[in-house]
Amino acid sequence: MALDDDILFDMHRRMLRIRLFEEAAGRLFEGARMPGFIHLYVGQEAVAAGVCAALRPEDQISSTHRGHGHLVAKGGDLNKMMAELMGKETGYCNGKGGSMHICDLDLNMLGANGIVGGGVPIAVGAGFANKYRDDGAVSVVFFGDGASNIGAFHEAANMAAALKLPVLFVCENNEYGEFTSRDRSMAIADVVERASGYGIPGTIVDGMDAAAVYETALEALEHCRSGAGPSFIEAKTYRFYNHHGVQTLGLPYRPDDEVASWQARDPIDGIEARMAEAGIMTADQAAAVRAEVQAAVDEAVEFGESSPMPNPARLLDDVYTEAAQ
Amino acid sequence: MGTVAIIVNPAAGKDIRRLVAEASPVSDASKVGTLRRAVIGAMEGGATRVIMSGDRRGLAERAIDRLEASAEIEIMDAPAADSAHSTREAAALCRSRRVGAVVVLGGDGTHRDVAKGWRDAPIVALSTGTNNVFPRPHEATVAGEAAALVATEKVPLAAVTHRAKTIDVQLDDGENDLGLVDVVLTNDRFTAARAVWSPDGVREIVATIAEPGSVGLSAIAAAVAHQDRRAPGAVHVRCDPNAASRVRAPIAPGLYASIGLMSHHHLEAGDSVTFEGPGVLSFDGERDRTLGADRTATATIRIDGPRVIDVGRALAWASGRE
Repeated sequence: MALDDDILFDMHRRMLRIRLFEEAAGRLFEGARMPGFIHLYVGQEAVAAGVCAALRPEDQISSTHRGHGHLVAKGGDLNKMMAELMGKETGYCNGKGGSMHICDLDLNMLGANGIVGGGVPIAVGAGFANKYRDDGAVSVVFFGDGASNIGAFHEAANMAAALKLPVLFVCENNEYGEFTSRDRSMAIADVVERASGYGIPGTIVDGMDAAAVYETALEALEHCRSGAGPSFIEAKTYRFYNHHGVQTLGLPYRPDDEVASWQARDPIDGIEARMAEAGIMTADQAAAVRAEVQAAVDEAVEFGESSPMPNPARLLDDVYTEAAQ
Repeated sequence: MGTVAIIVNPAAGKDIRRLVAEASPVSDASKVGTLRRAVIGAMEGGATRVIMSGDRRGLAERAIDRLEASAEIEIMDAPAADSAHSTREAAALCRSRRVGAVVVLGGDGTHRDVAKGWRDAPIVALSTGTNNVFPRPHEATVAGEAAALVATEKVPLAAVTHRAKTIDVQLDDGENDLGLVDVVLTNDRFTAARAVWSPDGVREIVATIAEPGSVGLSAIAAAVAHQDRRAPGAVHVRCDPNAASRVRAPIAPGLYASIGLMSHHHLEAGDSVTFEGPGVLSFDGERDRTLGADRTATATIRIDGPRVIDVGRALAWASGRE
């Protein structure tokens, strides 16, 4: 199956860009050098990297309140991202969106979303447009297990299936919606069972293994492009940090041994070990990529910190659009 | 006396073959129903104790909810995470608890995990997975009953079982593993999505069961030779995607593929085949171990695997008709 060296290097780099960008953001947040709120994606990198490596540039993605990883994986500009997180004029949304509203329409990244489940109908709308234009694009929606309890998910999934829209549903089941475990908010363990209820074929994949996610995403995207309608991937994964902020252990809602058991399956360590074993990348090469990505992240922090705050006179810019003629 | 165990694999029947082939999803609700019927059957067969595997999603707890139980029911502690490892541990626990018979719910992969935890377990092999060559279709009610008849010694184990074969794999790094139905070397480099659904990368197959009606990679062996599950021996097939000699075989539910063949020959019990890397070894349909360049793994056919209880014969014996 089509796991050539280029794809493996590509996914490794995408995951490192997410990890190092977010850890830098986490430190800034912790040090009160960043305003607002951040929800870190660390731990789930294999899902965004594996899916986005399988996409074409014209494919859209919609994201969640934990959306940095999706934008980085789709090719987001680290400088503009870091500046946006800092609320600076040079950020993706000119500093007026922040972490949960970050987006890049040029990359067909339709936005993070502060509303749980809010990205699902947006992606289905994009899928409708793709089908209408008949341009072969697929829209992908990343959402969590908690979002699958929201009405918007169910309405959108039903519509995507009924209209046979090219939409790939990617549920990142990290077992917790904010601070509530999946088994306290759902009577089922596998969100993919909900897909069956709408007539959408789906599968479960190990969300800590980028190669597995990539291979599965390629097949699921092919299904969507063939005109057969939507498909569904449930990636079993885990966020390494708290719901928001950077705390890991010692929180009452997740047992420390559970956190540790998932951290032992770190997706970046995993791909590095497997690439080393297959003779594709040495430890030195991996370290070199890490250093290169770290330099880009450091530059993004410098760019953000040295950027100006938004001009108050532009407060109402980009709030309303001109009415269509 | 009279202890029946029931092991269910929560992950069975959910892999990528629902996207790349036409396999049906097996829902947890369906597994809960199957489990409940197996418990009812085991109690009807006289089991005094039923031990059920535990998991993170509470399948066993749901299965016995408000069930009027004539046997003592015990649910094993849930593992830290549901995995192949937890199935192995459940099987190992059954051995240490001297369980009389184990009802296994899953596909070929699940039964392999049970054999890894308890090599010669007395089992009723019940198919609820994707590829079901090793387990046979039975209604769980009577499967549970048959297990209890054996566990309570109303029916002698030896009279109604056959000994399953295994393919023991010894890797050159000292690790070992086993397959029950087939061990296959593919051209892959990663285990990735685990199931094998593309015929092009298949290089070598060793299959202990090559019967008409098989689905999965062993169906390739069944297309060129016959190997009954009860007869000692196995089939070794070498494939070549460019070979002129070709067979068509159902390599997954609803998925027929054309496979180029280089050679095939019969293996006796005790015979070995050496796989040479680089490649990935798949066991009973799942890519599970990478084999680097210059590495080898030796597969040996043995006939000391699980003792498989024939449900029909056990019930016939109990009713005095055998």
